[in-house]
Amino acid sequence: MNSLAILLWSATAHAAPVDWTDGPHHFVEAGAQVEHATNLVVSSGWQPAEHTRFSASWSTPVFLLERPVNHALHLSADRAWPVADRWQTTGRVGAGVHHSSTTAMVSTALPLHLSGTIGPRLDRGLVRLRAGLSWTPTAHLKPTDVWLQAVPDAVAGWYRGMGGWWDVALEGGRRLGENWALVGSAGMHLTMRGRVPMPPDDFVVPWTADLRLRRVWTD
Amino acid sequence: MDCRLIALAVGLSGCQQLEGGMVPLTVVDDPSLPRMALDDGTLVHLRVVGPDDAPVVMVLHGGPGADHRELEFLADLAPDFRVVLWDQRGAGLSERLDADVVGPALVDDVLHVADHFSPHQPVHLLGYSWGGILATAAAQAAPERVDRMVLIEPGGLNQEMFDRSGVTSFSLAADWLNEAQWTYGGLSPDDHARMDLMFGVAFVADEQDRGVDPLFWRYGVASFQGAMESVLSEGYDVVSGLSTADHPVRIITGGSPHPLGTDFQEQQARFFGNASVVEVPGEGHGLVRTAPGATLAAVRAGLTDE
Repeated sequence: MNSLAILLWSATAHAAPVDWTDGPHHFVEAGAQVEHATNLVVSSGWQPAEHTRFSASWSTPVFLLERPVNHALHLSADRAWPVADRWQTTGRVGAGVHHSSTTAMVSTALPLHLSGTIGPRLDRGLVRLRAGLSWTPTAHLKPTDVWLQAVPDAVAGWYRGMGGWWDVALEGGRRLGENWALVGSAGMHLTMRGRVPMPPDDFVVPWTADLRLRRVWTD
Repeated sequence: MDCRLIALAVGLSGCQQLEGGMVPLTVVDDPSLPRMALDDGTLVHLRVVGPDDAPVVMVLHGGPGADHRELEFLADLAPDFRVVLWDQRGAGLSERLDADVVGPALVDDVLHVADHFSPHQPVHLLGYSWGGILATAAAQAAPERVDRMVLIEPGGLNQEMFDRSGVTSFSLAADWLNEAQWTYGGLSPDDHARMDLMFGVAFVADEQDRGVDPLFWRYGVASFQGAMESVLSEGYDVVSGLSTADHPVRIITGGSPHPLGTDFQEQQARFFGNASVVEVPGEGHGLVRTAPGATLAAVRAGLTDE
């Protein structure tokens, strides 16, 4: 605990911008992502100081829009540290709720996120490498009547050990004007045990992509 | 900090595990299930119906990876036959296994179970869909161990017919696909039970899209993978050499038009030396569920017609 406090103090003393947009501001982003499914994503963030950011993002799968019960909400906090001239690292911790309603079950998963980036600071954009872990320690699963036909003893409740995903991606961004920017990422993910999904679960898309338009308001 | 970690651990320990909750226990954990040990000790869920001295019919279910639940009506072939209903290695309520120990053993398992129940007489092989492919592969491996074959809408018996059947084509906008993909956001498929659950999610959604209610215990993903990597590997051909074999083959179809229907099966019948095709018209590939009575009659005829 003490070492964590020292680390945080140290980080505060050596702050760097979370990305190339300096100073207090807030922003709204909208775009599309491929992360398992193809999703619409809307997010909003607040950067109260140069080195700290809080953000929230909401996503829903494009091809299941007629069933709006499928959605996810993620909250995260970012911190930035300089590592060398014009280079910096960032760290992110987050938590979320991932809700899905399928023919077989209704699930509410509670994933936790941890990720870090490293990359150079650029004047009008950013490029950085990201590595992260999304882990779901527990989820509430409720079988539908359809699933109960196959597994009559299935019971609703909290289940443990839902696994997780590692992801590695290249993030980038480009300022498009005074208050607009395009941000995105492309990468791949593999299961928590390090397995790239293979047939027949090849309907698990092994790569990720994200493209968003950002509007920034300086505080 | 430590107290919070302990509280988290205690909280999670109160959560259930998937086996016995959302997905069923197998013969390994449920002693009430009938079972048999294969030659390497692997446990399979297996039920035998009929007198000991009756001709043996080995029932091979579809999938790969499904189970014999939708074929239980075939137990009514007794007492004229001794019917062996089982879930193939890694599938259904049989022991959960990794794909690499499933694939290479699938054909040998059929012959092992046949030897166990009918050591001195050839057996009848009865296969549905993927089970029809497996039955044909077993006949190819040991034709002397097979008497008659009844194949209910078998999948492609070689790579060319598999490709022609189009069974692997799907739409990127399909509900079953997107349901599964979205669910992966909160669950990863690197554990047997999770894989079973996720494949089940996709499978029941696909079945519902086609207007069919699910009728299976467990869809064993690893069993599916094992079959795809072995019997159904690129360029496979389980029917070569059988054009000169003389054992009777009856192919039963659910009519036309659908990808594995009568037109398709008439082409496959030409691979055998002594095959005939009969229809249970208007039922499609799900004939074992939509018309079990008519299917049973067609099977019985296939096993007894001169």
